Amino acid sequence: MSVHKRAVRSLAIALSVALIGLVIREGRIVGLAIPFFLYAASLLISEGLLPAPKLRAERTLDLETINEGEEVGVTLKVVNEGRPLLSVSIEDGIPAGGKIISGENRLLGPLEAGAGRTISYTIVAGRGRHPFGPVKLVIWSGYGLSYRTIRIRCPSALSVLPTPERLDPIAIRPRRIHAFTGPVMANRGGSGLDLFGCRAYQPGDDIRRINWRASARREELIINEYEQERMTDVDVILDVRALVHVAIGNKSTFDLSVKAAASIAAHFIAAGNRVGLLVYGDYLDWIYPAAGRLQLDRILRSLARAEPADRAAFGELNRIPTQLFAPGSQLVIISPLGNPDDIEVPALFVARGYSVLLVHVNSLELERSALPKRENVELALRILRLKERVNLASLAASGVRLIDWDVTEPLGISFHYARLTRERGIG
Amino acid sequence: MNRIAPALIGLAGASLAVYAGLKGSPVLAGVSAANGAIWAYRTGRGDGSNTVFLVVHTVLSSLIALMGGFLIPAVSLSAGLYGWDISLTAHYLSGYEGPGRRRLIVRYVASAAVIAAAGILIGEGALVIRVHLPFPLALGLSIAAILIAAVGFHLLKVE
Repeated sequence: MSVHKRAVRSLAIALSVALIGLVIREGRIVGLAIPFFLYAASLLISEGLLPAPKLRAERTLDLETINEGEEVGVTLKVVNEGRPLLSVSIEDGIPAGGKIISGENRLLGPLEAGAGRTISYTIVAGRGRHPFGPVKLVIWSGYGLSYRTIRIRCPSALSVLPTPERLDPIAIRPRRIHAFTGPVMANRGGSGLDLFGCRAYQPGDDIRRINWRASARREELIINEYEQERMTDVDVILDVRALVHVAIGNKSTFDLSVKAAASIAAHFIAAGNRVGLLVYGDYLDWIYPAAGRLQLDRILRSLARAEPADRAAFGELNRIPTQLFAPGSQLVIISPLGNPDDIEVPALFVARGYSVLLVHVNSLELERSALPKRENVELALRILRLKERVNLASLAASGVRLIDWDVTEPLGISFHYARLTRERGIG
Repeated sequence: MNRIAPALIGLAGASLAVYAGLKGSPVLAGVSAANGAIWAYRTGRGDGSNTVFLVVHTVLSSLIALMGGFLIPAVSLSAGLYGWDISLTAHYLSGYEGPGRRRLIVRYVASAAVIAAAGILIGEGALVIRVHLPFPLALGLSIAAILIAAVGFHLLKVE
């Protein structure tokens, strides 16, 4: 409560008591109002005598962008450019999602004219962009009971990038490939590593590729052809609509989906592809496909900014503008498909000529952990599982490649399982 | 500060209850004790500003003062008032450590004690020297108090 509010309340009580005492003409009652009057007067006088503060605050961060789990050192310096202050409490506004692991973000002590006080501490924070709050200073009166609170804006923010998880290689075969060498099997003969076929020698062919055994059998020169390996565009679509995500305890499918998107983007960039990102929420956060470390950094920064969206940019997921994606390119959709209208969306993309890999964010086991073990709950879960199985089977039948990711396990396990089975279908 | 405020409030409630008991009013003693206990408990837990308890304590102090005596009700009232003030200030200092905090608390409590003592002494002094309060003077003082309060509230820029 501010000094003014305290003074007002005590004055109100004092006046009431004094007036009652005067009305009933009882000196003892009037006398009881005196401590209140003195208290209010001392508050107002000492508040009026407080010097006008001239303070400057500077906050420096060791790093403004860090990876999840890393620590960052913060230093705050407050300089007094006015009259000396007998007692000042300084409190740095740490980000809402930040946690101090060493040092203190507050200090109490005198601040001489022209002198400065420095606070140093180390914080950790979860994924996201964490703006620091203002620096809160309480200037205490040298005598009396008042203080003055001021806040100095000191804008700075910490970006915590999601840490990508290492994934097993997963084969993709989009219809559209680039002319540059990359990791995607192009289904075309040429130079590469895997044998694609044999054909008759034509002038200009590399004689080192002549298959001498086949040539001896056919009595003409036959050369080996290898499958071309080309670069492709992979567009990762991350569904961040709040209505499709669930949060149980400290785990939320939203955060796990963001981490999955980071892992998948890092995986395809590391393989040598051009990767783009579309974060689909209350607006479209689109990063045009490109290759390399800088692009990964761009994608991770965009994912660090991602937040659950209460509204969707377009009414339904199937209204995502496909003009953003190159025709025939590879799409990776990361979504729980929690809305009944979403189920057919991956199939619609396939029908439009895209190769689709759907990472289905399956939260059933996560939700089950928060439910009591009752027969009706088990029955409901079984029905839901069957329903999801039918939906995913219909998607698989329409040409969508599926990874059904149980979020209680790391994404890497689902990718590993998908690589081992090498089948179209669920899991 | 977190321990001083409930201690002062507890002292205020207990002293008023004992005084009311001595004056032969078990009802006021019981109400004072209950008000002080609940107030001290809530203050110890850091629940709200508890101004209502201060108002109740003031009413009880006034009623008990009407039964005779001034010093104990005034001391009790002052203890309650500064306990209330310290409870409101305590959270500004929570989380701070070191000699700076200790110095500030000592200075704050000393200032509070001086102002409280001054209030009690002025009240007691006025009663001892028996300031005469005829009706015109009482009315004039009331109007003056209201005007001073109005000017004070205006200066405070009450929202």
